[in-house]
Amino acid sequence: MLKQYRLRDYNFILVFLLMLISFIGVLLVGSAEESLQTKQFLGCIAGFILMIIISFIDYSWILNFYWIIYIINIGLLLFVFVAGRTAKGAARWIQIGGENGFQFQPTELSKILLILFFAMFFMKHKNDLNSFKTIVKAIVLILIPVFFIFSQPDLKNTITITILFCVLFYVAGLSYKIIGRILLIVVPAILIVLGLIIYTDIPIVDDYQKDRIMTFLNSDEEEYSDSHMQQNNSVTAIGSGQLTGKGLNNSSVISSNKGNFVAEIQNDFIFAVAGEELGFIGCFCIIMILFLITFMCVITGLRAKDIAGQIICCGMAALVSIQSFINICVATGLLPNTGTPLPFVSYGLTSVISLYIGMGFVLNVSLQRKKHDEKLVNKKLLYKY
Amino acid sequence: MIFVFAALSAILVTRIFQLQIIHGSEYAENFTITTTKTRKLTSTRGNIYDCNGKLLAYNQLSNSVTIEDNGSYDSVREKQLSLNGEIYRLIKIIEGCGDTLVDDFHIDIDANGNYVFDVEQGTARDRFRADIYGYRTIDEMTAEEASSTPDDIIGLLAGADRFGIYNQENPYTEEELTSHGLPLELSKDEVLKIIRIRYALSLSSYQRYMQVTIATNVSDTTVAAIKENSASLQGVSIEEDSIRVYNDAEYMASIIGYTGKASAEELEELRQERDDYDNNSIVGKTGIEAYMETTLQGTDGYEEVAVDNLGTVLYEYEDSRVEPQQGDDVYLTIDSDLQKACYNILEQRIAGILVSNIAYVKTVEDIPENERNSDIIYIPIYDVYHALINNGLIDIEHFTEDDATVLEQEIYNRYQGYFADVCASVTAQLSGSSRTDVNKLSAEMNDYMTYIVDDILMNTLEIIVPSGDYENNEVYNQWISESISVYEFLHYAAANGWVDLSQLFEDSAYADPNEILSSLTDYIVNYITEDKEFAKLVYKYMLLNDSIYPEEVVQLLYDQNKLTKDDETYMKFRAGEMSAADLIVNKISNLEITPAQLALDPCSGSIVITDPDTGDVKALVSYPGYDNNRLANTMDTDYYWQLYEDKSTPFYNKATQQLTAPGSTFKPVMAAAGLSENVVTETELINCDGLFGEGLVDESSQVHCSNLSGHGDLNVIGAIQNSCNVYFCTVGYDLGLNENGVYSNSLSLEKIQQYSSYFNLDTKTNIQLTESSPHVSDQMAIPSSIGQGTHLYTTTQLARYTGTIRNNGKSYDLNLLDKVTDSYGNVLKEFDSSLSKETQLADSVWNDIHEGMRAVVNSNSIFQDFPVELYGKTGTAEEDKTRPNHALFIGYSSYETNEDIAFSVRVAHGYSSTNAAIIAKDVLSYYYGLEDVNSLITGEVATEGLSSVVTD
Repeated sequence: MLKQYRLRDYNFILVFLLMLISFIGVLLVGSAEESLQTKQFLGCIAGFILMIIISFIDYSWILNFYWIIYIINIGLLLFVFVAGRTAKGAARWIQIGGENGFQFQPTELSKILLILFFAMFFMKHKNDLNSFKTIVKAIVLILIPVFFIFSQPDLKNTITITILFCVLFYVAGLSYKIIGRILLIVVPAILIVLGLIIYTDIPIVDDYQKDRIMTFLNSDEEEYSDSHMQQNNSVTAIGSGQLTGKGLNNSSVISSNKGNFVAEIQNDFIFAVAGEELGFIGCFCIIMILFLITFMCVITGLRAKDIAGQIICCGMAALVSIQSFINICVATGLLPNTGTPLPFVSYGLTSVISLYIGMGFVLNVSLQRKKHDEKLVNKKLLYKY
Repeated sequence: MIFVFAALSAILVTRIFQLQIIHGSEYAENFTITTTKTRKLTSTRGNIYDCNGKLLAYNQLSNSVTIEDNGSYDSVREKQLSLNGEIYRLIKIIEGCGDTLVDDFHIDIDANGNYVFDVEQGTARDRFRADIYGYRTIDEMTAEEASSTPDDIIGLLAGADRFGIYNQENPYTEEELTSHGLPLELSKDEVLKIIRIRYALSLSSYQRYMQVTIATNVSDTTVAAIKENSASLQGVSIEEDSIRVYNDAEYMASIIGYTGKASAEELEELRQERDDYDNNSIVGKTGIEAYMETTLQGTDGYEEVAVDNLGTVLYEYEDSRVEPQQGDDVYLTIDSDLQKACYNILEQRIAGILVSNIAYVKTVEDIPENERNSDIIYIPIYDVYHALINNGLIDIEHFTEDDATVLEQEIYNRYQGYFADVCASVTAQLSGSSRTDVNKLSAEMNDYMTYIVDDILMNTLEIIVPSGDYENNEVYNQWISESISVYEFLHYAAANGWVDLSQLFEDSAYADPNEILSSLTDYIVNYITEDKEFAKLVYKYMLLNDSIYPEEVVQLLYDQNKLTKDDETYMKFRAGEMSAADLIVNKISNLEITPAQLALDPCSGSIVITDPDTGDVKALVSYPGYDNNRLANTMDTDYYWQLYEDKSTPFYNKATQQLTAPGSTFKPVMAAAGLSENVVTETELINCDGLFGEGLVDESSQVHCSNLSGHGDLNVIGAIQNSCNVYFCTVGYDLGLNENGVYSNSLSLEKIQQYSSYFNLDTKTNIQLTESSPHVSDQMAIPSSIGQGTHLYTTTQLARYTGTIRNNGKSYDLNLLDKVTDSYGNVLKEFDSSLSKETQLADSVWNDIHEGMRAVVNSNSIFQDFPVELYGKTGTAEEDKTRPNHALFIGYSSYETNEDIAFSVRVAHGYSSTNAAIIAKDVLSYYYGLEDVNSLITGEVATEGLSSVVTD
């Protein structure tokens, strides 16, 4: 389980970046909603500690239990499905510790667990990855958790996990041919589904989800719809930050934050706070830090000792970058409102801790990096990236 | 893959660059943030109508100014300055346009510029303190908090911890104050007004977007001024509102009641029935407004609107609109025309009683013995002068105001001189330098000292609290009988621990009686210097001792604008052609000065008219009434306190709450008891020689008949007709004879109570207003038989009792409500009659009673040639030998021009039942249309036929 590690292999840069982004996150959450700042801070600390611990545990040893991980994952999702507490109409949370306790969102952890699971799964099947049987198996294995997530309902994570799955599969070594074929089927299918959602009343997605899509597409007509207002307010807030922002904890009359004009500003629209209070410089930094984190994860993946390690790192990279991208697009008005949290910044303890757990694995992968002689074998992989 | 991520990042950076750098300044300048807000659509209250559909209570559109704490500020200091500055400007605007601010805060400024509580010491004040300190219950306060003074509270609220009007640690700079529109110094009044509004806001601070109303029924100028300045008045808006308006206010107020902001207790109760009540709800406080509150209260609607960060409405979501629903309408059984007529008749007649009994003397003793009629209780004209001051028609506090006239100031100067002497005398009594027995003091000193000890020390301040078995204490009884000096009594009290030292000394350790007395003296002198009631006493004696002349008293009335100078009477008076006494009597006669304003005996009365077949109440008159328009909406607190202190007690409903003995109106019950228990038969004769009880009971229990020489032989019908005390005392006595022929007081009382119950006199009528509980006599059976003893009934209970007689035993609950309709007139509910009790007695018993009551009317000269088939009974109830008796008349009638009725009339201290009978006749004349309205209700005193002689 614990091996002899070389300290200089430890990816301190990644750790530093994570600390930095979390710190910014805590400050922004505090500005958005002072009472939650402490919780966010504690969550970061807890996650950080977990990350450190996990980073010293041999990931290969853990991956041996990959089926158990899968079952735990399904178990958690099932539990939420059955007994979860409803927040804003969706059964996505489990309340721990009463009213002032914490809300545990299993889906966040689920993403990490699925990365771990498929990392091992794909490595086990590395030889017959492109076979029909394997592909079907993989799809079935992802459909089960996706089904539970979709029926919570949680469209955003369904999409996120689907994309994540594709990335994992790709990294594992799915051939371009198959990818091409799949795209050929999937892209038109998506367009048809979207068309059906927009132009008919067939209940493919829930009302509020349809609302969000419709709002986005029909921005002129529904000018005062709730979600449209939120986005407009967010865009205005970000734009008004200009270069340097209005300063942290800004509370002037003209603050969208203090004016409580954007709901849930501490998670979905935390970027609006960043935009308004830290300006272009602050936002640019956030985007850069997140990109660098992603970059670090990918580099670690390159140096991983096996495919599983690669998949873990790329999976985490993809997760962070996809979520970041979606969240910031929403906040800046490029995508319809989805409710995706901004990794390490948005208020959300489960999300923060889960990501830290994932990062812990990445760190461990980097500790077990290939030595010089093994690098040659991986040169081929380099070209993929 | 990295390229993909890089590309994604690039997209994002480009986007934020676009937003923040390229368009950033646009966004910053045109910063419009929109949000959704729920706007309340206020509903209107239901109306109240009389039985004929005449409108009694309704709503009128008005505008209110509201404020909402929805601003965002950089710091707490900034918030305090901004908010207070804005409120200051707001106050100036509103008051500048002549409107008044709402005042729910229980601290005021008195005439000397001190902060004072405006509620009495007690629960109300404690509750107020608890609210200030933020406790749910009064007990949670610390001792210090529970005894905080108005200055303490103002100090706390104005400080930086609360509303930041002042900042002790870091005072506001001149620049800070002026930049927020605040003056460098605020007057006490201005501070108080700002605190009132900040306090009201703080009560709703737990909920965002809660508006607080700070001024109601504002003028159009205020509306315009606020709208003009709306950009600089964050959170302030004009809301359409309605005010409650009452027609025929004085006549109907005792039934209708009035509306006002709900108190904490009322809210708690109401929320159990409907959960849409909140802190700002206007609810009925008394009367039918309160009783039918949940019916009359409408349901507010709401709609969602999109607003920008300044609160400007951008868009209204039509789908979200839920229309408000007007409250349901209530129809009463009352006939308002009849009610008005009764009220006016009552007032005229009561004024008439006063005028008939006024004697142009200073005191009764001044009437020469040979001219004095011992039956009559005279009203010396000086009592009337005194009443003008005593009941506040002449406001002595005004003598020291800035706009006091020369005469007022002169009178006040005389008062100060006279008072100084009074003080010296009082001090002499208290310090023991004079130790005269109280009953040997002059009438004046007697009045002062008994007021000081009984009213001030014992009742109001409770500084002297006799303890132990004080009722048997010799000294205490000496004091009661006034056969001890003040000093001796106080010294005894001090030496025996009857004095509450905590009110005199800070450290209430042992103090010797001399110290106590000395401290008491100082306390008293201070107290009476400020006490209005004591001042009134002083003025009384200034009058009697010619330090003030009647002409001056009359002139004061004119100086204070209580009478119009625009008439002949004033000219004559000024020319010396009309004396003060004549002027006053003249003014009483034309009701420019009403009996209620004088609060002498009599000053009040009540009439209850019912439909005996259903219990519906056609008229429920309580005189004096009041103007509930001035209490509803924003209460005129000065008017409220004026009514509260008025000695004619307008808030005390004389028809439903006032309790007196029934007097001879009780005799039909005894007739029923005697006949049914077979102690008398229909034809049996009992001899009345003018005195009951010789040889049967001892002298103190013997009762005289109204006819001192005796009625001779009477049967039951004759006994009712003549209201013979001997007959009915005999019945009462016989009812108390046990099987051995021995008289038992308790057995007699038992029978009396039993039969009182048959006539439903022992239960409330269940009328939908606050009613006092009746009390069937439980002492002294013999006097109880003729309606004295400890009987106590309301006019409503007597009216129902009368109906029960008419109905041969069927007794209905009294009912004020006819029906409830929605605002379109659709009937939602009709109120049925409720049979309360049905007593079976022999038909002959009922017939005898009816015959007797018919005979009462036929043999009374008042009802000579009266065409109405009227059955009645007079009653004169004695309560206090020093005051006139109560006048009562009960009856039921039938006549072709209108429905049958059963009614009761009572004039408290109205001298003689004849007066009540005359009032009844006037009422019936009106009801059956026998006389022209204008000759009945003249607007002037009606004196013919009035009498002070007791005939029953």
